[in-house]
Amino acid sequence: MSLHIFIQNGELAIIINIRKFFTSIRTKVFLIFLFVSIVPLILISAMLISSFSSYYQDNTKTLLYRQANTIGLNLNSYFTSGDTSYFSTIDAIVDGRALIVDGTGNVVFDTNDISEGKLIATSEIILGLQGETTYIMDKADNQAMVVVPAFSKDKQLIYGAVIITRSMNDLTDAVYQLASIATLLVIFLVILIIVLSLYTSGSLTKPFKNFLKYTEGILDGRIDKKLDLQGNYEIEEITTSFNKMIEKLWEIEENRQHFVANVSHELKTPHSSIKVLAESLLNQESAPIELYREFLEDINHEVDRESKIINDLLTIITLDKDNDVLNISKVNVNQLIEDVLKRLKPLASMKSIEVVFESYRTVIAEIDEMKFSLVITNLAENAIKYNREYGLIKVTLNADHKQFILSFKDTGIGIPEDSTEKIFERFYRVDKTRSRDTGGTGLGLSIVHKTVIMHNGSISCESEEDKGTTFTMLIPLKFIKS
Amino acid sequence: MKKYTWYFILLLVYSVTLVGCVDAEPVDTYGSDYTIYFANSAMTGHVPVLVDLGVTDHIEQIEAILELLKSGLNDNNIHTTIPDEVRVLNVELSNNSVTIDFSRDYTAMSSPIVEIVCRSSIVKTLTNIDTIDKVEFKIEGIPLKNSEGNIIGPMASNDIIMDLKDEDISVEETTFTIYLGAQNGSHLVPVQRTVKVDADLGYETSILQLIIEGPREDEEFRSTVPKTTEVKDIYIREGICYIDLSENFITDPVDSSVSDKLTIYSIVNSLAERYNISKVQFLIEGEIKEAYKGHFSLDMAFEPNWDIVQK
Repeated sequence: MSLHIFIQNGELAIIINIRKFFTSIRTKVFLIFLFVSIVPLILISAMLISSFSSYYQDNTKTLLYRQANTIGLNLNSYFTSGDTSYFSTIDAIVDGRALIVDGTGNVVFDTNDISEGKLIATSEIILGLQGETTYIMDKADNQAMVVVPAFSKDKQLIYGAVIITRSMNDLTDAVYQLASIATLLVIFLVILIIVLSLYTSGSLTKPFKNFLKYTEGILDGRIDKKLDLQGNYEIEEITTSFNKMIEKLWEIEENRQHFVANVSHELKTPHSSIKVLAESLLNQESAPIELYREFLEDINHEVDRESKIINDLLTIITLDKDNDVLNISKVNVNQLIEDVLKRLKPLASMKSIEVVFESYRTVIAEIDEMKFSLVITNLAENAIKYNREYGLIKVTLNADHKQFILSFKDTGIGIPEDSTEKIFERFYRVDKTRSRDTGGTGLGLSIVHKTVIMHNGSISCESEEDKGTTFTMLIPLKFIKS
Repeated sequence: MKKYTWYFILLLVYSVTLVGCVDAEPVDTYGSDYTIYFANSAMTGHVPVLVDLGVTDHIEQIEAILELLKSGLNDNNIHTTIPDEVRVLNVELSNNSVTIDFSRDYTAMSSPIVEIVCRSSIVKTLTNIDTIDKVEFKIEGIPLKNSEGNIIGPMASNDIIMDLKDEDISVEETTFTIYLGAQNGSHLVPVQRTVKVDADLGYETSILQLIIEGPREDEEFRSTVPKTTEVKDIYIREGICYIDLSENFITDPVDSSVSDKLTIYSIVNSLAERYNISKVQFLIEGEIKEAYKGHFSLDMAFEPNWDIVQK
């Protein structure tokens, strides 16, 4: 039983390998190279040889005609007065065999001296005696034959006919030699092509192997090195793209580490404060009630701070989990904004910041009230946080029949150009030291971004350092579940 | 295994069928069917037709054939070869020779081509019969003459050429005297060769080929020319035979005990045996060469040298 399974497995392994072989890029490239170079090579050589053969045959045909006609033109004196002096020169003119027959089919001359006196009754002669010229190429005997009528000087009478036969062995020998050389050449080239194709197809697919090794390394946990592949342009493109991806991963990882460090620190700070306050109270033998009250207020404040941090964390985790749970209702956006701004007024007046709300019309939109309120709060808070003293915040609301446009413009410290894309990323801080001064977790804008996306809207940021920042949102009026 | 057994059986069946289907039946005169050469409908060639004569007497067979060649068959593709006005007066058969006596109308045929078709069809058909070798034509008792005024006489099958291709098998054997090297290497010896000459090659080429072939297995003579020599062309002009040989004649090896003199004259003497050749001019690849292996100049025609022939 186990042997049976082993054989089956062995077969399976072979099947997989055959499939691997035939679907491999290397094999395909190799076979294509081979086919595309060898087939035309063979076709062209065959065509050239065939061409040469035809050309030579045609040449020979013309030559035979010329010889036969030359002889025919010179037979007048023989046919009119029996003068055979011309006959002795015929052998030298013709490089095959020539026969002359008279009008009765009687052979009057044969350069080979054999058939004189015989009767020729072939259809070519019968036609020749009636004025027709014939050319025949007998493949079996490899002989060419030409039959040409011999006309009288005035072209009125046909005296007889001239036959010339010629062996084509010299042609077939020449063609054979040519074909042999061509075959050797083709074989040599085929071998060369096979070797080159093997090499080229291998070098083309080598980067893929290295790529595979690299990604396997990543799976094993070795993520600290970048991919380095050279070769052709496409591979280098893939490498660049892949490395960008790896860098992104590193960045994300770095940001996460920073966030964890940040959060730990943030959570630790209120804790430490609370501990200090509590301990100092406990250490004092008899503290006045006012002191207790003061310290407890501070402790309360710290707890609030911690709650906020924890809430933010929870929010973002929830947003991730409950991807499309939105509580959609028709909301008066103007009212919502006014409520938030009213709530934040004390914060703004602490820095003497003027808050202006410009609304071109009343906007009613299908949105999640709670989440959107958070968005406005976040953006407004940021506008205050990162603003100067005596600065300005301008909130603008407008709408067309499809969407409403809400923008927050501040005169704050601004965001560097290279960061305006990244600020919506989680845990991203423009300046890592800033969060400790201004408070915050780096999650605020990513919550805003996620919420806007969930409403099928878009948000963008424009900023100039030391001048100010503008956040612009476009949200559809009607909510369409995607 | 089953699969292979099937293939094998199929292969067997296929090959047996193939063998059975091969048509190896030649046109023969042993059966009751005879091949009669009619003309094609345009009178431009011949059409062989198998006909059952139905008679066994030889003279009757000949007469039946002549009758058919005159009256034809009920077939549009076939034309008669003996014109209507020509009458067969008499048929005689003695030994293997037939003599046919025609009426005077024979010489009055409408065109020479009609006569060509007529005569060739009769002779070829009759000589195709096993027992007949020659056919003679007479016109009211007088032997038929050809265009040159010579009596044609008894005609054998190979005197009529219906297809230039089968001409080569119709030539009689000829005996040549060629000259090969003697055992001692210093003389030439005459050697008799009797061969059928290929009509397309001619006598002179045949002689050269015999010299190139050299001595046969049991003979003690020496070969005088390289076996790879090729005859590119031979022609005779005013008694001089021009032979154009391939380069191998000079470059390839010859029997070491044979001198250059022997090589040259084995060819010259052999060819000079022909009635129409008195000198031989060598060409190599169409060119007149100055030197042959340093001893001879090939730019002049050679006359035979009978002194070096062993007595």
